[in-house]
Amino acid sequence: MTSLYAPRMEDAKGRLRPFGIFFEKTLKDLIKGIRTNNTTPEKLQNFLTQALSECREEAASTDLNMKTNAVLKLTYLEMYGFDMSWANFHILEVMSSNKLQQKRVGYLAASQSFYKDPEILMLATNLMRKDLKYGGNHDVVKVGIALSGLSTIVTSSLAMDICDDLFVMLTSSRAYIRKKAIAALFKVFLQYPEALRDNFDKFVSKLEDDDTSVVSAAVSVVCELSKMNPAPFVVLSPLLYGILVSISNNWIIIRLLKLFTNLSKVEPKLRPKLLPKILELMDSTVATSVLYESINCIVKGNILDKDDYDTAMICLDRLHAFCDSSDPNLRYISCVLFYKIGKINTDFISKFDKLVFRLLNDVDVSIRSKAVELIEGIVNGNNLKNLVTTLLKQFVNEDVVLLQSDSTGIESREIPIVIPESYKVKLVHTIIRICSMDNFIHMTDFEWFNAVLWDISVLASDLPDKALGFKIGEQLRNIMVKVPSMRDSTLSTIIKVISYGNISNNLPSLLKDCFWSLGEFSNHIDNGDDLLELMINREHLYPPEIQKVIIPAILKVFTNWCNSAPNPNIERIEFILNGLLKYFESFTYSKYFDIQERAVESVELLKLVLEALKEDDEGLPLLITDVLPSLFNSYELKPISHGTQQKLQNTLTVDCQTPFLTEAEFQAILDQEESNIDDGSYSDKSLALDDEDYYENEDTRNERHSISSAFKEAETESDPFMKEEKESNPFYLADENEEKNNVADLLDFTDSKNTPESSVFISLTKHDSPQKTNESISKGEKKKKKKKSTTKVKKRVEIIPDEIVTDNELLATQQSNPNLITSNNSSSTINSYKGKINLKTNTKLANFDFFKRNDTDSLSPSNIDAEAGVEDQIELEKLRSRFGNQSLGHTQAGEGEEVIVIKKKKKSAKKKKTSRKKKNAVEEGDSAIGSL
Amino acid sequence: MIHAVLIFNKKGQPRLIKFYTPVDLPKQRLLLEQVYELVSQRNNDFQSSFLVTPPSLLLNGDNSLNNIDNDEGIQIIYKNYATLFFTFIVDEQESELAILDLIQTFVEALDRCFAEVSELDLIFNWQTLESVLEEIIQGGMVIETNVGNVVASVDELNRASQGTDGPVSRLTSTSLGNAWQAFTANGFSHWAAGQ
Repeated sequence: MTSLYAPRMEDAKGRLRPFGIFFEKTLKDLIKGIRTNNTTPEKLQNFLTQALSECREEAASTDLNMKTNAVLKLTYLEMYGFDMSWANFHILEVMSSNKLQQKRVGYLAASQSFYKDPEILMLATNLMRKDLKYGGNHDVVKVGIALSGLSTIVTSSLAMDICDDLFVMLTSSRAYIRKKAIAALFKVFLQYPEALRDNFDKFVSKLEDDDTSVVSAAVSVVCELSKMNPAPFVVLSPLLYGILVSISNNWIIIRLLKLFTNLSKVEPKLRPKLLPKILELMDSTVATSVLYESINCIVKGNILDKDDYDTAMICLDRLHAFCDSSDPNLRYISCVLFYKIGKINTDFISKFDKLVFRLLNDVDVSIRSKAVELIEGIVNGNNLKNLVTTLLKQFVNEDVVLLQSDSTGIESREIPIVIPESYKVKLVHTIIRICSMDNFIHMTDFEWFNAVLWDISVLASDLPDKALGFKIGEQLRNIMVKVPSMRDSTLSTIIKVISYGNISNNLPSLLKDCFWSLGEFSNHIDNGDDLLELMINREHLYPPEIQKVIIPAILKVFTNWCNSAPNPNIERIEFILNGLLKYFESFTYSKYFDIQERAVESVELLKLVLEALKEDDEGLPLLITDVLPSLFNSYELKPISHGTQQKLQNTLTVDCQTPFLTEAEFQAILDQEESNIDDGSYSDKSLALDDEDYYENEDTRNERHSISSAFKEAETESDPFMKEEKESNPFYLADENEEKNNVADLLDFTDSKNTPESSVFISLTKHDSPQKTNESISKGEKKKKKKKSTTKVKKRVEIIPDEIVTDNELLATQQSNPNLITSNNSSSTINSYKGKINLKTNTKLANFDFFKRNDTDSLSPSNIDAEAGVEDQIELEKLRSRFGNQSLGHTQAGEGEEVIVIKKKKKSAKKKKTSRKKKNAVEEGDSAIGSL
Repeated sequence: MIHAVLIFNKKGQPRLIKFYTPVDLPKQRLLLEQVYELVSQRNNDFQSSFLVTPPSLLLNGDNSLNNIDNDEGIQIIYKNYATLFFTFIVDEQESELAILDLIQTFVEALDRCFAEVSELDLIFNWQTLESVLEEIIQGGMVIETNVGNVVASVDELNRASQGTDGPVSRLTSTSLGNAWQAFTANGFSHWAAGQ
């Protein structure tokens, strides 16, 4: 292969220009220049900009050789990110050259730069129409070039125009032309699907061509077309199968398998027929790639049935062998397929746990990463711990690969395996998922899980994915809510987490659920005062979403702590209260309104508490014993699955039309109201209070009265239950012991301060009381459960399943909900496409109905042609005038210096000339272009 | 379908960028940088030829673990030859193993065009690189997988181009790139050292 511009050309040019006044460089000079100027980016940039401005001038030259040279350089420079669409018009000129060499350059440039400019495409259409007129064998090269070009820049009008010529080319004696025409037809069909419908048989006959390259191209095209619109190709299945068994070219076989995959996705009837044939092929072939694609076809074509264990095992055994191959590529893709088979039915892969363990330690991290996805399929209660340990080890261990150089066999070097952070993030996600999947179905040991969560919290605090914090926090919260017997040890994990500086600094998202859990289950904590001090004594300010949670959490802890001790230590309470007030006051000027609001509310409330505490000499004021708990302890939260609430909301129908009261009722109430006021019972009260007091306290007081009375009732109700429960349930004792043990690691920083007795923090009465008061109905049931769990060997802890909200309407919406969710998803993906590369091209083919003859076709084609012709003509005229102006504008924009102004005039004159010439050329057709 | 072919060296300098699906120029550059970043981190001695973590430009929204279920998956398959990376960006209609074979075919065809192909040959014969690729892939479709046929077509194209060329071009060398071979062998060694 020769270069387009070999060095001798320089000599020739030198002879032609004896005084050496020429500044154009060849592509070679350009590349040389780039290499010599590659020392610094600035230098390179300077050089490239200079080269570009030279190209600008050369491109404007009337000398077509020079122009071609410039276009070629511009095409090369595009690789360095320089847009060349400004030169489109010059490219078009070069394309229209009679010299093949120049035509090649022009088409190459056009294929890179024309796509986004519909106007130049329109001009190019005429030219390509001409170039594609196939005049016999001596035209092969020219037509070949044009066909390549057509594949990249076909428009629908060109497609309509050219398709007949292309179909003629399908019968050419040259295989080269046939295959290129087939590939070009693919793009034509995308723009103008009618062509395929009307010439289906003609096109399909190429599947049986004598030349393998032609068959290959035809199969490829059918395969691509069938991906977008499989329906019309289903009828070809027998023919395609014939090719599949008779042909020996692996490339074609692979394409056929891909094609069958597409067809079988839409045609279920095809599947049972196809399966035995593919299995046959798998037995007979020796090529790994064919074998792999056969399995791929079975899997992706939905041919593998959920309960077809035989076929699945045949495929998996083959893949198993591939997974042990020394070729990382084969290992990788087999691993991916393994996963896909597992997706069809997890049972298929469940026995391959040994293989997965092996792949988890593969030298190639990308294969490990795929194996991690397989874990979900093989995990069970027995190997869970083992799996998690394997994964956790990868965080610490630094693996090395021993590479043995093949030549000597003795020499070997060690290469450490770099474990990317994305992989570590994936590991953490996977660990959380396999541990918690199906409501902790594989989890047998929650103590161990707590330890794992602590480990991954520490590990995750060094990882960049901040969402991990939420996930881990969610797990901690889930255990707290769902596994009542584990609350104490989980609390100790949580306290460990919040006191670990690295986490609060790097992964504060983890703390959100931790603080919530501390608040919600603070009745398990005896030395709440120490916990409070820990929570508020951090110099580090938490991010706003954490502050939001920590305020109510602190209130809850405080309330529960005050009420837990039998003999409250008033001074200590006062001390803590002052600390809390100071802490909350720091939030009262927060710029986040919700934090500010919560802080201000809490401050006011605590001020009242402090006041009451000072006034009340005997014991705790009512505000602490009754009012505060009533804010939080009305009922225990139960787990509901994610989204349930939202679903309920969807079913809510709010009637805004019907008035609450009829006219008469309303009047009656108004009357009553008036009489009340007359009685004075209402206004008296507010009048009695002086103004200040009124504003500050009225709300709270009212609240106090009403709530406290309500609460008293509740309390009296709950007390007997508590006692009863305590006496009748042996679980209490056991639990108490257990918790005593836990105290050691719980809040160990307070050990020195607290006597052992005081740090025994349990008050199981509290543990259950709020639950009892509000769930007295389910009390009996609960007790039974508790007893069961004690009688059972503590192999399996009780895990509260998600509450089921039964509602017929809800069920209905649940069924319709998938739609809702998917529509949400799709909109989000659309958003995220912004700024991304979208490799999907819009085609008319995808939605084209091949079986319906289009009515618009009944319009006589000549009519359409004529119309289109006229439109084209008008359009062309417009363009010509525009391009004339544009080329002027460009030169002006390009240079600003005075010296060049003279030049510029010349140039623009030249430009006008060339563009005028160009116009003529386009109008007059072949001969004129030749003379350019 | 093949969406793009990127050839770049170990320093990330582009040697050929070909997009069969239209992509804006700045994004092409960005994609090249991202692909280079990812590819250069990998060890070709024992790692597979597939870019598992796609460059962020190609991610379709969620990069969650289940993006493998996405059948529209775009794959980036690359092979490393000496100092060059040959990278193909393809969709799921292409077989991974077949594309690896195709890259091999491509390189073999280049090898036959240049006797013993090196990065330097490809730097200075970018047009050759383009035309060989054009004979293998047309508009994203593979049209030829036979090395002999590819080289024959390239030769024929060159012969024809020279045959109909004007007087100036006729002065150029007619032996296929021989002059270049000689020139590069002698004259450019110090550039190679500079690289």
